Amino acid sequence: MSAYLELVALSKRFGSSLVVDSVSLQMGKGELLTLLGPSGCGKTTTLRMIAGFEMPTSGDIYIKGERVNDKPPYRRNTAMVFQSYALFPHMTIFKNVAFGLEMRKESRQNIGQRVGHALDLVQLRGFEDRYPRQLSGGQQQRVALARALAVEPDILLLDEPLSNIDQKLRQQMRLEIKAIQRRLGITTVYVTHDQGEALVISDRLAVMNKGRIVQAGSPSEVYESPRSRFVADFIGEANLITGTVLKSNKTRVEVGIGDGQVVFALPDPEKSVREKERVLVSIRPERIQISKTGLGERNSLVGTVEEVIYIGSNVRYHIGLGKSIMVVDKQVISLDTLHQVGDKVVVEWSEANAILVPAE
Amino acid sequence: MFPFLGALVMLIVESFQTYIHGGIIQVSYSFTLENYVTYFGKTFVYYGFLWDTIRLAGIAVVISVLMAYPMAYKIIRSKSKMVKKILLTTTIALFFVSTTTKVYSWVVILGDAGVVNSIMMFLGFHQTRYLGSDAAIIIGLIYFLIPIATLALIGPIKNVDPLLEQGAMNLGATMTKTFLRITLPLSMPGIIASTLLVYAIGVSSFIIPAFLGRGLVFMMANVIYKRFSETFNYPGGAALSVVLVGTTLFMAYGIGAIMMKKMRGFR
Amino acid sequence: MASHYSITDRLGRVAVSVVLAFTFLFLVLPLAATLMISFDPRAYLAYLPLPGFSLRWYQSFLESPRFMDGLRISLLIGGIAAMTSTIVAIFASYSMVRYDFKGKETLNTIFLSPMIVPEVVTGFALLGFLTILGLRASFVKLLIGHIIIVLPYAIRTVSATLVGFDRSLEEAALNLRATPVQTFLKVTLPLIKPGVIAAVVFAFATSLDDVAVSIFLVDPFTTTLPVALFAYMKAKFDPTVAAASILLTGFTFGFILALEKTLGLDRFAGI
Repeated sequence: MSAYLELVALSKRFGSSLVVDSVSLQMGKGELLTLLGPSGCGKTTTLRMIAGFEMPTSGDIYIKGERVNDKPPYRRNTAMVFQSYALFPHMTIFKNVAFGLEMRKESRQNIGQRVGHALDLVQLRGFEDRYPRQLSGGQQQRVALARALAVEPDILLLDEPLSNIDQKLRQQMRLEIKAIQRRLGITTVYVTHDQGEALVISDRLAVMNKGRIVQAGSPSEVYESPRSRFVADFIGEANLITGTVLKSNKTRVEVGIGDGQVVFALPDPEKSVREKERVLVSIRPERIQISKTGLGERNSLVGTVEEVIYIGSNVRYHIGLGKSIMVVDKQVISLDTLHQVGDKVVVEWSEANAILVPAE
Repeated sequence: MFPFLGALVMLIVESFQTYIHGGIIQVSYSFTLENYVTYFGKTFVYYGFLWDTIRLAGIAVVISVLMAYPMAYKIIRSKSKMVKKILLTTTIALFFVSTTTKVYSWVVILGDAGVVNSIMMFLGFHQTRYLGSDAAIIIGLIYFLIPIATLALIGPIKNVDPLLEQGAMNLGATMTKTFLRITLPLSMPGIIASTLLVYAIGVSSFIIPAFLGRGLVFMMANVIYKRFSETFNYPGGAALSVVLVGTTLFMAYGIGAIMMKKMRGFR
Repeated sequence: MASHYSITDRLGRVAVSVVLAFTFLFLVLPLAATLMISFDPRAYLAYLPLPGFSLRWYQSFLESPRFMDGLRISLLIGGIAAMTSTIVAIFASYSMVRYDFKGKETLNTIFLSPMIVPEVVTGFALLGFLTILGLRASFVKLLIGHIIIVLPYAIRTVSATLVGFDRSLEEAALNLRATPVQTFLKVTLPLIKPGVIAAVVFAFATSLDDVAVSIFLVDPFTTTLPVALFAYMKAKFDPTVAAASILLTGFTFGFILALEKTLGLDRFAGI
């Protein structure tokens, strides 16, 4: 299957800094791919290169099999939703959404229809004659989305569209965006630094750091099997225990973590580890059991509760284990089942939840 | 500021005084319209001067703004830091160069033995008298006004969010269309304000028409000075001044109001 | 440019580049002409090219008592006017940017009005007014006139710096027990220093350039350099003026440098 969007070794240099470093990826039609990473990792620059606002220093961009490097933004069939919405202040909502269609010289009738359709999709029918400044942030964002959808682009590009919107609304809107994208089957590249957002909406996600893609895959793949310390830390949270490989076979790896203690982890099917190799064992805080006496798991350590942080639906424990702290997240079933500071507890987890990550 | 206001008030008052030969400034308390009548009632000569002033300044302003816009645009939007720096430094440098220097430069170029004539003679053409023509003054005015216009236009252009231009291009607008539909309309109020400011400055110019007009073409500032230095007719000069300022203000407000009406819509 | 760009775009880009290049040359070349002429060894303006190279006109200018007196007066008036107007500007801007009071708009317009009134009119009006008041000393008249015309520029420059000023810095100082005066002297003033210097430079340059106002306020004993040059140019057009111009342009470079090192040309232009 030939890719709908393909980036081949795309790089961008600004002065002396290499902002995008040999990024390659392929997208199929109808997919929603998220570029996820901290600020400055090159995700927005990559997006802008796809749109045509930046020229790549090297590498190629193919849309539907056609090389588009030399095409100016207005000749590519991409549509971008900007973080700051970029709505034209001197035009009504109708004219804003219609703009792309006017540029494509559509007939008046057609424009009217398609603008109406786009506004329906974002539930803003009736706002046609208003001006952007009369709308709230969330509404403006929807207009920006409608404007991009109206032209029925080959590729929809979203640059942190929800960053300027408050929490509660953000969670609702990300689901709306996903629903619309799925309904229309539009190939979409989404850029965000919010890993929660990325996990919710993506079909696939590509984690970027310092200009490179460090891991790509489905949300569950990336979450469950981080392949580097960076990814383990950036997506969700992870307890990382340093250790040395003692024994390893096809089903299990035994890691010594000092003081004679030993934990077990699943081997990485792609990469085998050797004895004496330094590794990190990564366990997600919510995958850890905590109890007073232990429940019989092979991976178990004894520690003391140093802090109890109550977040309403969850409680977070900081458990001191000698030199390090382990973070454990648990749901709050009732307040009296919570452990107290100073309690001696046993933390345990199953092998399946312990991932080996290369120590860097 | 009080001397300034006081002076202006006095000027207006004086313009209604009778001219008394011999005295420079009299504090008499007469009231007469004869100054205005002499200049604007009996003959049409002074209408001619006023019209020349408005006309020459008007042409110069339009051309200056047209030439200044690309400069201002590049200063703000150019991708090359070097280009921005060179253009901005040149603009500000020329802004500070003394007007006398600027006028003299054009005398050197357009003079009877000047650069242009030297080249003409070299190519076998006749020497031509360039100074003392409308064109010479207009060129001098343009030279003087472009740096001012450029600096004035920087504000309005900067206020247009570049993301809006990118958004338009993303939706299929060519650079030309983006400019016509997005950049220009959004910077228009600022352009108009700048144009009016530059016009007010142009209409007031003194040295430029004094030397590039060679005594053949006058603008109002020269007329005021000449009349006064020749006849010491203070009330007369006062009347001319009032007319000059009055027409300038009138035109500025008038054009401004018309333009603002047309732009009613997104402000 | 890749062939995918539209025709209008390609033509437009070429047209704009041409206009830009033309404008740039248009601005720069005339000064080059003056520079060239200032070295003309002949006694009057004659056809180019120059037959030789001479510094006689620089000598003529620097040795002329009339011009040197005028220069002295210009520098003096410029300096005093620049300082005075900037100090006034600081107070005026501060009160107008920070406080709201009745008649603020009107006051603002009054302060900025000399910009709109033609300089000739200003000079002419002042002449009458100051004479009626009995003021004879030309130097004082010139000083008043110059302060009036440069004040608007000083106010605008200082205001621009004040507008972007972070108030919380002053609030922090007040919170730490500084009096308003101390806050102004120790926090506000140092931070608006670039703008203040720019205002002084701007005012000085404007004062140095003025002819139209000065010409009414000079007397046979006190004249400014631009007026002296003006009078000279009415009679003769020899390259003394060219030499004077080039030297004055040297000042301009000084201004640019001062602006760049303090406020920065970008900020001065409002970028």
